[in-house]
Amino acid sequence: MPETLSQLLDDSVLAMPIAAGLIMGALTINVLMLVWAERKVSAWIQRRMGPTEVGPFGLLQTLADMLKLISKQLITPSNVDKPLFHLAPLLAFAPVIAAVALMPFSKSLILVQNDFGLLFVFAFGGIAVIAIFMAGWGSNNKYALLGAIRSVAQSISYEIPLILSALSVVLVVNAMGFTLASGGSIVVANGLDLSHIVMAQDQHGLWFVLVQPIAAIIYFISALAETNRAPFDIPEAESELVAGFHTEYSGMRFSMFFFAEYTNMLIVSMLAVVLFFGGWDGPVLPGPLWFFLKSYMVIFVMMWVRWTFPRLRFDQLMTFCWKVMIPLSILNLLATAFVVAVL
Amino acid sequence: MGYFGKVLSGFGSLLTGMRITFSQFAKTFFGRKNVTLQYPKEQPKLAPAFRSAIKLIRFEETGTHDCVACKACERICPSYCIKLSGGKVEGIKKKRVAEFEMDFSLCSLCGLCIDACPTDTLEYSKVYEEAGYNRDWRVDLVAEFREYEAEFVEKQRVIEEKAATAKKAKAEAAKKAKEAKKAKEAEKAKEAEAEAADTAEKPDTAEKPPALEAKPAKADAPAKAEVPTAEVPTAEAPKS
Amino acid sequence: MGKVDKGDLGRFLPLVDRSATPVVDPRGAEVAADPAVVRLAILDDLLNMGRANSLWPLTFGLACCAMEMMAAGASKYDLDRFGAGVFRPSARQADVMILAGTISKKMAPVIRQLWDQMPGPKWAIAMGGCTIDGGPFKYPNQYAIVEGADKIVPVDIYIPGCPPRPEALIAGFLQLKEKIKAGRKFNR
Repeated sequence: MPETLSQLLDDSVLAMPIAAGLIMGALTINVLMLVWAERKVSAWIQRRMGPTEVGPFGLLQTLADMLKLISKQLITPSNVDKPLFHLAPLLAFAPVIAAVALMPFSKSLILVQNDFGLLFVFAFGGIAVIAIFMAGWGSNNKYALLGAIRSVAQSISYEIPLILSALSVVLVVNAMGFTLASGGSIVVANGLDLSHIVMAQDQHGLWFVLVQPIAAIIYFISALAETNRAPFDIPEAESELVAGFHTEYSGMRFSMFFFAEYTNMLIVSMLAVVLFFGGWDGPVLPGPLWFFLKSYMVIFVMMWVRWTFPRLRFDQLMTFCWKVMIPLSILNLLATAFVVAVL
Repeated sequence: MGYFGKVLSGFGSLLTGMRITFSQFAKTFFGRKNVTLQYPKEQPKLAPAFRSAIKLIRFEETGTHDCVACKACERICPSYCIKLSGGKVEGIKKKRVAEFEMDFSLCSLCGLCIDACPTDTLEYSKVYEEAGYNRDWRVDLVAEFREYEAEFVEKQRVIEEKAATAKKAKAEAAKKAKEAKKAKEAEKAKEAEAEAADTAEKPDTAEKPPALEAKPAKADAPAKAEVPTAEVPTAEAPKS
Repeated sequence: MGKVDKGDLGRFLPLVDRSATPVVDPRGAEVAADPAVVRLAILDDLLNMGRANSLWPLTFGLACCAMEMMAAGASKYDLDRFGAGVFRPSARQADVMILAGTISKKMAPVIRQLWDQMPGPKWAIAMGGCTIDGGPFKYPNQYAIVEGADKIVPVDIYIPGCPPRPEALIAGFLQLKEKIKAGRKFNR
């Protein structure tokens, strides 16, 4: 028996199509469910019912939305930058699939095993910013451009505390010198390997949210900003900029942005689970199930936050990032480094 | 409050907000209670003063409306949404409306027509869920009353006939009474002339007409009622 | 679903017979005889089901009727039950334009522009007397109001009232659903 799924796939010519198909299918179902869940959660927070008429509990609501979006007219406005305009949705769509492939769903269920998985996930997150800016720039629309500029400023700013908070976890994993039993041999934990981070928590029975609570909070807030979710959704603030960077996108192109947004949510929450909540670690139930349960709990908190708080003003957003988040995360990192060095 | 104090208190207020929304979430999700009125399955409770398009009132005693086509509503309507026609109906004296056309899409529900109606036969309907594929929202308010119209005309004819005969009888009675009075007065005058007395007989003359009015065979109620009121307190009048 | 139970409140007795709705299947009998066409028609019906159940309105209010539109989207009436609660701010992503309020002549070109910006199969709902034919603002020699939304956009559903209740808007949405399910093609 091959040890991991990735090895199994390495042996086959069909490796790429199978993996891509698996991820695409899973992600599509995930997005369908997440949009439904978002609408239901928002409805319940507002004490209404949410979608009820399409399918049981309105479960097929998003399917109807997809059917409609597929059959909608695709409008290409005049004077758009055609290559950028057409490429942007694909570019927003592709990296999120790549990032999901790196996630360790369980000890053996890893599509792509990589020693520097954490860096790759952040790198793919960076590509999404380029896609958004391409969309805004290519649309030849002032609102789209303003939304894109805001999005770039926001994403670049919030990537700093995001990475700094993740770095403090990496520091803990690396410096504590966890030894992991992996496939019969003992290896020293590599803090940039996502599965090693989980195994470090799994085998020592200590979730890093307890070791690094401040980093966890900073990570969560920065993740909200990274995925352009409320209260940091100023790139698509509908009261100011019509619909932000996707103002000019209709039909399936728009739904690709939609898809990317919700899959991004899944990725940041999966990463949160990997970094702070012990990944697949959990009693009774199988590992992947625990992993997804925890991820969806984090997503629920993200939705809960979205339907609670009003949108920040742009200057408040930047002030909050540069004057609160970054100093705090640097302090946290320094404190971690100090403690690690002393121990 | 320093820098960290501000950060902490801000964080605390965020948590307060999240606690409140979660309590609402829990009420709906776990308590299964929401405030939504599931409209097509449930109907709303309309307020007593709810205003929708006007309609004609169906009176219980007549079984139909009481519109006399006076066009007061048409004249007062600020939106020009009422057009009605009507007038004399064969067989009865009362005027009746023939067509009461109301354009709901023009109406602003100001209610001036209801205030202006002399017969108080207009009121707000409780129609609240109208939608259609057609832009024509002219409504014939009389339509639902058409089938009762013949019946009403027949009834009204009978009533009017009765009233006419009663009126005739009354007029005749009054005429007779007048003649009788004249005769009596003439008699009295003769007597007075004959006696050529010094005293006046005014109280007598006040008492005499009632006594005379009892004579005609078709004495009507109001005339009868007047009899006691002339002498005794009004408390007795309803008894009789 | 979709059938509106009238209860005992009764309906108007209109001058024109509204029961004869324009909901007719444009596919004639001879077209339905061709099996290939029938298969496509099934797909068409599927897409129409999707469209009918996912009517995203444009975040767009003109006057006072917009308040009732907002109420229809809020907790008490909850348009989201029918999948119509996703108010899209951008015309490019909207399916239904709810014309809620008086259309002044200054606003008319903007409305037409928004309508032209909306993609694909799209529908318009005229909500309130003003959008049907000018409503209370219509009088001889008036110079400010467009007398009827159908002078600038093709309207599918007319909802009278001043303003209509949120229930009326929901009833309008349900009728629009019936209309879409009855099988219109890409005819706009």
